[in-house]
Amino acid sequence: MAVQAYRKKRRQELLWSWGLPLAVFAVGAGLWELTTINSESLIIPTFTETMVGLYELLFVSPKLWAPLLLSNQAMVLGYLLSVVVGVGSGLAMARVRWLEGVADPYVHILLAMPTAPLIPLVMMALGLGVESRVFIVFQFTFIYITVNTRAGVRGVDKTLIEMAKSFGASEGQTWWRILIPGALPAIAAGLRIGLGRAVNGMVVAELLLVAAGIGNLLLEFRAAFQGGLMFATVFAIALEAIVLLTLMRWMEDRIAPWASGAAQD
Amino acid sequence: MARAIAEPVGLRRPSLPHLPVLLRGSGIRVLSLVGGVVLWEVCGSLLALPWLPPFSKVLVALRQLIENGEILGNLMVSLRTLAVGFTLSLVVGLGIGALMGRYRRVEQAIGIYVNALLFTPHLVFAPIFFAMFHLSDWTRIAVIIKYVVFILIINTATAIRTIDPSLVEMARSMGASERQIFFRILLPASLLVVFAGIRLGMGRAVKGMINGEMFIAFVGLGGVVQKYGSQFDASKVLAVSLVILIVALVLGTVVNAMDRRMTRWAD
Repeated sequence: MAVQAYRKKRRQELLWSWGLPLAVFAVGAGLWELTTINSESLIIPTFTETMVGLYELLFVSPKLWAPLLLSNQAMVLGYLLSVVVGVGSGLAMARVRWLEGVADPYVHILLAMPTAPLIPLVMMALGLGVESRVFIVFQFTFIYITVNTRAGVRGVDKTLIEMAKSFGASEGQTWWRILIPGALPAIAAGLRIGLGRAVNGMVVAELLLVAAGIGNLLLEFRAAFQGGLMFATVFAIALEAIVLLTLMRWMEDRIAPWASGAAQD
Repeated sequence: MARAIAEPVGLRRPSLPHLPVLLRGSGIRVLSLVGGVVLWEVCGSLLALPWLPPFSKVLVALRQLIENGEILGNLMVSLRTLAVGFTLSLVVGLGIGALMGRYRRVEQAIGIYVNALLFTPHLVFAPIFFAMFHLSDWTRIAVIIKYVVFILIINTATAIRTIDPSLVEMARSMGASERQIFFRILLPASLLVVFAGIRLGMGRAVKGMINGEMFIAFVGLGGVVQKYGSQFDASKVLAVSLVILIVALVLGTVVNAMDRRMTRWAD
């Protein structure tokens, strides 16, 4: 009897947890459709137009994938560079006292300062090619990896380090056996946050510096007044970010299931 | 299901940038900043790179911009959109976040969308907002809201959700109404974490403000950057960037100060 009641409750819960978001989606889509179906705007599409456009971009037309790949090249390169520099600098800052002091004000500045105003300077220095987009992605990303890595290493229980020392561990052994495993959750979180930042940087570079891949696609659709396709491109980019970050989150849980979750973003 | 991906920064006291930290700190921090400026001046003068004018030139450009009124006028424009956008985000963010944290049904209904929209790159929606609001202020305000509101919602929801349930039970057993529980228990207990979210939100608001303005390109401090950027005037660009940095730091300090005042009991 109790088991049946429990199963029924579980089914009900499942119904709620799927039904509610679907209902919200339906209401949202309906409102969108109703407000736009008679609109005089040349560029704002209806919900159905956008969905058709999205389907077309994802599964039918080859228009999306080449530009997406092009844009993501900059993103991946910038991200990898950021990981190397970010983890390296984070580890160094956490361990070397004077380095921490010297670099700390710049960490604060880099965290506070929007990157966008520097884009004209990047253009002057690196031109309009992939290098400048890579640099912008890098600039968006690396400091967050640094900060999370530093916090991770700093957060390792000091008594563990002392214990290692008292057992005669060398600096290298302390790093390999204690600090890095201990900092792994925070580093993984930093890598995830960094990926989000990298995608952001990719988009900003496309919109503010030079529209190369998908930024260009967006502008093309806009110029041709193809609202459905333009909105669909935006959603495709959003989807990419969601997929990447969900994957990253999944990986983060695999790497460090004991994460406590106080990441700096 | 949809999990809160952006966990609150937690009970760590403000460590995000604010002026006192930059100016105080041990001597080495100040020395480092001074050293950086000196290095900038030297490299700028010696290397003669078009994109790296010496610091002194940047200061001259800054004075010119202040004198011809471009800084002040545009600063006001920028700050006004920031104020509107941030306030709206606060109201909506804290409100929806509180509802999400308190009522599981609300979280089930919208949680997945809030998380999804938090993950997506924010500026990519600027063309959509532009299509909706054209050249009015609302485009930039919408961009700021996109940058800020979702982190506030998630943060507030987590803050409310992680309140010790025994506090609520105790209030219930003493006959408190739903309204009383909300305003006397939930709100104060979550303040610490909520303010952490507000700190994060302020940082994002400044970035949203600038990025939106640079996308629109004719208005606010971002517009000034675009103007001189297209003229390849690195000194002016850097001068405005300095102003933007100062704005970001000052606003961060203000939020931190408010945080300290309102959560003094936590220390």
